[in-house]
Amino acid sequence: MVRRRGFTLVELLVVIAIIGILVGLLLPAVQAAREAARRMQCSNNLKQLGLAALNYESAYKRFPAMQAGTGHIWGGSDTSNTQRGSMGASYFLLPFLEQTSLFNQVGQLGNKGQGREPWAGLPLYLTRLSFLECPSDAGETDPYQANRTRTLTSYGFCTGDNYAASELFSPSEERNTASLSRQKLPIRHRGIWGRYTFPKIGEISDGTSNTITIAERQRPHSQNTKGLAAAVAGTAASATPLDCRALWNGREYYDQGLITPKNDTSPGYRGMAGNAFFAAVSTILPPNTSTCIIMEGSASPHWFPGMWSAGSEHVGGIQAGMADGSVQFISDNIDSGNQGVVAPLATAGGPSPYGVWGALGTKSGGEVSQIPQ
Amino acid sequence: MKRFCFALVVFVLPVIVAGCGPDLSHLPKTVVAEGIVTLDGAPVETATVVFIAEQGTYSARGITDAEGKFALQAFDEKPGAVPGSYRVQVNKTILSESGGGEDENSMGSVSVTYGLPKRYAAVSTSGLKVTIPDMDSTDIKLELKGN
Repeated sequence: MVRRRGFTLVELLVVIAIIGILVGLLLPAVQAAREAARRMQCSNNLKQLGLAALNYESAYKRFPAMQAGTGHIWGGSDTSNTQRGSMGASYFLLPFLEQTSLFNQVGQLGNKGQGREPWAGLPLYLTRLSFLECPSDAGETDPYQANRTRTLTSYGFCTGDNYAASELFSPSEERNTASLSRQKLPIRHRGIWGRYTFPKIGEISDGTSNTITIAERQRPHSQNTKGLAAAVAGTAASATPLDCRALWNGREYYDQGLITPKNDTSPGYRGMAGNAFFAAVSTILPPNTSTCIIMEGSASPHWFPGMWSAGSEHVGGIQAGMADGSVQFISDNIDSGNQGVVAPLATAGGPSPYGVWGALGTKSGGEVSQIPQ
Repeated sequence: MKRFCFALVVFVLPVIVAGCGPDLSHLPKTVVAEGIVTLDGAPVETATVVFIAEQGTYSARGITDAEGKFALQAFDEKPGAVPGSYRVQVNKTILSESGGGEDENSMGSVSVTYGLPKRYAAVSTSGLKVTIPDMDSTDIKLELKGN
């Protein structure tokens, strides 16, 4: 009888089991590698945007405004107004991101005749741009208003540690006033970006490597998730970051009824807009917490002051582009100082009450803080 | 063998267990601090309670449930608040929306009002002061008055 060499069933099973265990070990690592790749692409976008801002500065000797544009904020019956004073920095940076033809669409149409809702038909407001979308952010349609989704974005422009607003006066006063000159007054913030302000790089006296210029502001992917804004009754003189933080249980808002607006576009879904609601990042509440609008009375919610918190889908923190062009990872656990203090006025000087996080947002707070390594 | 197992349990196990979980030693000691918010005797739901430290930076926050009860939290990493004296503000937001929606030309409008007397929303006007003792307390009473 010929004895044939071979494996017994037990040996075979053992080998299969070992392979199974090894694959089991490998699979989570593969998933983590995919997220790492997405995070890297996300960081590359930040780098491109940061360099575009610096190239803009090289060309014009000033940074662009976060919010600017022609026309009245709300023209009432006058529908010939054009950009509603709310074009965003991502629009002004387009020529420096190889999107000149998209940028020129507005110029070709002239200043008149785009109607009250120019974004309704113009491709400029609807085109999706890969450098504005972090691949980790999954959301593609507005969780509350699918029909008002426009250009998507995952990034915000840092306005520092004050409650950044898009209107200087009370909404009824500014929105309905006939005086266009009042609607064109600049709003400066303690961070680099503002409305109708074009900061010089020399204003960043805290140092360009210690000042955030563009950071991740995650686009909400479904109802009651991070990135959506909740309302806090109050004024910029009374509300504290903890009033906002108290509404957030770490994953979602305790009371979904306070999320607003549900009748208009959510943050992250109007990428070309310059309102602080869509375009700003505040260094007030630590990353990956709640976002809040501070308001009382009745008006369109997109114009109010708020705490526009940075957020991301990455584990443990967010990425931020610094004014020197570098991109840094910032932990959720970064020192955020005393969260029980009302934020300083936009025009105030002095150091930030919100620790290292607040200090990284201000351009000239005089702090000595650096990113913790 | 018995001795070996004993040594393993006594010396090695605590080391392994201690390695689990984050190191919270840099945070100050917290105590349980719970209470109730009432307006003219009736409990208030979804009111945010903010305790602002008179000295130091360890403020705390909480939100009330259906029975008006809240539990203060000073840090994300662990529950409870740091003992000390605090000034307190209590706020409740009431939100309603109109317009907007699927009609592009309709301006969406949001209306926000205070659900409690406005003076309680700011620490400068609330007049509320609470001292959290150096031990667990579950009977902080914030008794607000309508007028």
